[in-house]
Amino acid sequence: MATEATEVSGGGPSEARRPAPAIECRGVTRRYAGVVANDQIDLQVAEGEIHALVGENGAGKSTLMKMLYGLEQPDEGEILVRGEPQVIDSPRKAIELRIGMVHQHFMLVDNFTVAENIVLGAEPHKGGGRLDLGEAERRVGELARGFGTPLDPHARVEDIGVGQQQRVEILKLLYRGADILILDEPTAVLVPQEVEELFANMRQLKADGKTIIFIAHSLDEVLQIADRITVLRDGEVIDTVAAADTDTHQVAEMMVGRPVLLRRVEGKTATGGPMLQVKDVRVVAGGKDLLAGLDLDVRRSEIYGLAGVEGNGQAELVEALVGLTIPDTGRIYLDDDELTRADVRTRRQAGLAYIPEDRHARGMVLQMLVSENSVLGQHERPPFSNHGLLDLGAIRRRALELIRTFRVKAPSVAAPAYALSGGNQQKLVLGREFASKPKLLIAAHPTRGLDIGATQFVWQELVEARDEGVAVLLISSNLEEILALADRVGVIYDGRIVAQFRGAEATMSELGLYMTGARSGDEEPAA
Amino acid sequence: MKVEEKPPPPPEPELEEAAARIPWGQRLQGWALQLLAPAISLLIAAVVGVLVILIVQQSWSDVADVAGAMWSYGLFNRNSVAFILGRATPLIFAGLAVAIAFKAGLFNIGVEGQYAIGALAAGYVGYQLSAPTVLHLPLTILAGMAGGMAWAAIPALLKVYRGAHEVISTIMMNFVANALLLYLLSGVMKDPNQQGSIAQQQTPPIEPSAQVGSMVPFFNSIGFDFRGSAPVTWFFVLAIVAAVLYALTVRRTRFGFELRVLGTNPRAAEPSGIRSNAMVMKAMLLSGAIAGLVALQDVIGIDDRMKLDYIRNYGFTGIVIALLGRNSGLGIVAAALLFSFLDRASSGIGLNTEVPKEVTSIMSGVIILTIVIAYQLVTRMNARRQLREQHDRA
Repeated sequence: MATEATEVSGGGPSEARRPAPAIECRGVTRRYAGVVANDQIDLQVAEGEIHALVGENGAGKSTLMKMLYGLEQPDEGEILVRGEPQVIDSPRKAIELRIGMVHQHFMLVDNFTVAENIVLGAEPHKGGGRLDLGEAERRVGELARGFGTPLDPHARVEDIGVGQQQRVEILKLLYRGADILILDEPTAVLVPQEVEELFANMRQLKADGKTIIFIAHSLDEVLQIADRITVLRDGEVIDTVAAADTDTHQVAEMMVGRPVLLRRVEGKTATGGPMLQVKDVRVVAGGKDLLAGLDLDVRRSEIYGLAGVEGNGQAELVEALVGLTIPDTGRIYLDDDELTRADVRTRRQAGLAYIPEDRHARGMVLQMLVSENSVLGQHERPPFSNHGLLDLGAIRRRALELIRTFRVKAPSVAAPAYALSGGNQQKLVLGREFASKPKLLIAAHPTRGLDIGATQFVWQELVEARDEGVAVLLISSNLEEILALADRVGVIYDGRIVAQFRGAEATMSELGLYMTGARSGDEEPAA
Repeated sequence: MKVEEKPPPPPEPELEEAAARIPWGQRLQGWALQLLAPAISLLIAAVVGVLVILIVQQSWSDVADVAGAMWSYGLFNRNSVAFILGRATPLIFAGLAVAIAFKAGLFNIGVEGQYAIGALAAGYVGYQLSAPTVLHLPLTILAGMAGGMAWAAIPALLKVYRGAHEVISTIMMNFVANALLLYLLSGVMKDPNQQGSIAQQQTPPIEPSAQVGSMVPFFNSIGFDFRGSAPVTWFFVLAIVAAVLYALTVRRTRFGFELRVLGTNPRAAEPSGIRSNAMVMKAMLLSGAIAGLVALQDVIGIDDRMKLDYIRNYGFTGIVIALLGRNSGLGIVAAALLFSFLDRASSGIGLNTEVPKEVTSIMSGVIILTIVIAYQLVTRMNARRQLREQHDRA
């Protein structure tokens, strides 16, 4: 299917001789408040191919897909659909253009039947405005039969499995006549057998002449199913290659392999004994092992970098460590205290600090004051509160201290936190957690969304904390960050640490292989 | 790019100065914005009131009559001030009860049932026990609070352990309270010397040792001239104390801090070590305890027994009071006084004009309907202003 793969990556206008590509982006650019999410994207998706879009988190995949589906508008550039320039200003317009999208989180009505869900919004009618459910079920049954695996049109969506729900989503698109299908990380929610079924369905769709664009993280899967692969990095298209002409190593390198700009920062103090010990922790949800017997230890004066593609158990690990979820099995120790079942406050008082990934939502209260946000999570202990009474003076002094030390630009400590810009809100949260003098600091994507200066500053702070004896667990999908800071690096894949390296010995391409599952941990963990 | 080893440069001193406190101009602007919404709402209510009078009576002189009656009778009749303060008392308690739950993000619609049970419990202790005042009166008041608390505990437990939404369960508990009230007042708690219909059911009289005194002698000693029967008791002082304690609790205590975190961003509460479920329990119990005080002025102050007709929708008015007062102690007191004044003014309209006195009910209705919209408008205006300022700084 992949015709002249490398040639089209240049993005020149299509020749009249060739059939027009199903989708063509020319110089598409999208900026958010100073951040360029998509920078001069040129992309061609041929009619009837399966085109995979890969890249790290934040590379711009979702933004690009949202523009194709009309959820976002490009600031520059144009999008051509079947050779015609189009302004896709709403999902409705996208549907008119026969473009459909399956979101990562399904948009189904749980207590409706499969048939009802599929026809929802375009229901067949009998006279007098009455629904013709019989007709709906007949048509849905027909669609489902042409689609291989059986699907009961009468079943309620809440009663069927995730894989089947996904099929309902795809059928929904087909019912509306879509022939360009966008699948946003369709395999993320599926177990391996379901992935196989999905791929069978995708091949069937391709045989029926549909065009499929899909976003995926696992390079193995991408190479298995895609005709061509476009790699995005930092909002730019790195290359479009034919799946047949490449391998996981090459794609992984394109994904993460920018020239290493950063010098490693070595610690001043030697790594000490274990501070955090995680033993055989398992978290099960919906029959899936989100953490599958994970072992981990982080030592005093050590930055342990946890690398991995998002969705491989990082979030669950953090929640189990912080105390937001209690693991199903396994044990967690902090400095010899067992904390497996302790609540968040106990853990914080025992010396845990936590920089949440979603700082706005989980790390602060935007409507409350800057000063109040400066002590959130430490508000219950002296000097900020004594015998249940807040010491507003001490709280204000802490806020001023943070503003000074971390160069937070705030109109006033008595202003609501939403008066701060996003970057400054982040700095406030980071500063607050550093200031709690922790034994263990859990930093989830601490520099995401920060500019280069602020990033440098955070790194410096992490290194300083390490030198002061703090055990730092750094979770990041930015390998550059991990390689620059970590004394040890672990790769998390499918809920387990599959490989572990000394920081100085890890390389991007090797990490990339483990992260994408191209190499498994069973072969030989290094350190 | 390499991580620099230098410490950050010292901050500019002006930054610190500026960060220390909000300038007065900005503060005043903030306060003005706080008052803007109720002002808009009152204005609309006044306009609607005028329109209604014009439609009903079709004459501007009636509008003037009504305004005059509201002003002169509502504020300057001999007993008006006493009436307004007395009538505001249960509304302040009800508003505080709703507000403290609001602060934790909970919508306690069950104040109505909670104060019914509280009044019942206080009434029972009031007539059943005999003890010296120093013991009997506090016990009676505590019984009222315990009654309200117990009634609030059920929805709280249902929410924490079963996930039942408090709006539904507190409404249900109101019905149960009502039925229980009817049952007890016409049964075991009924005054044996009392005859009459169900509507007049009441308990035996409360011992004098459990009664709260009238504030009229105090007011008259400082120059007022209220009739002895004017309905204001020392409960009014208790209500003010409660409002002050409420304001201090919300702003100055760890408990209040955690309430606000939970109420404004529940997702940030757990990662900050705040035990959400425990906070929900505490907030609901406290709300119920305050609710238990709502009708006590009627039971052990103005009258001397628990009667069925003390159940007067204070709980629902409390929701409006809390909303109008923006859940602040001072705001709630002000809103309660306003509603109390409207009530008094309606008597003036009934007595002194040709206009039906229900025009004040319409006005309070309009306030209820417009206040939410007005706050939303002001909040948006505020957000736009903040955004502009942020833009200017950037």
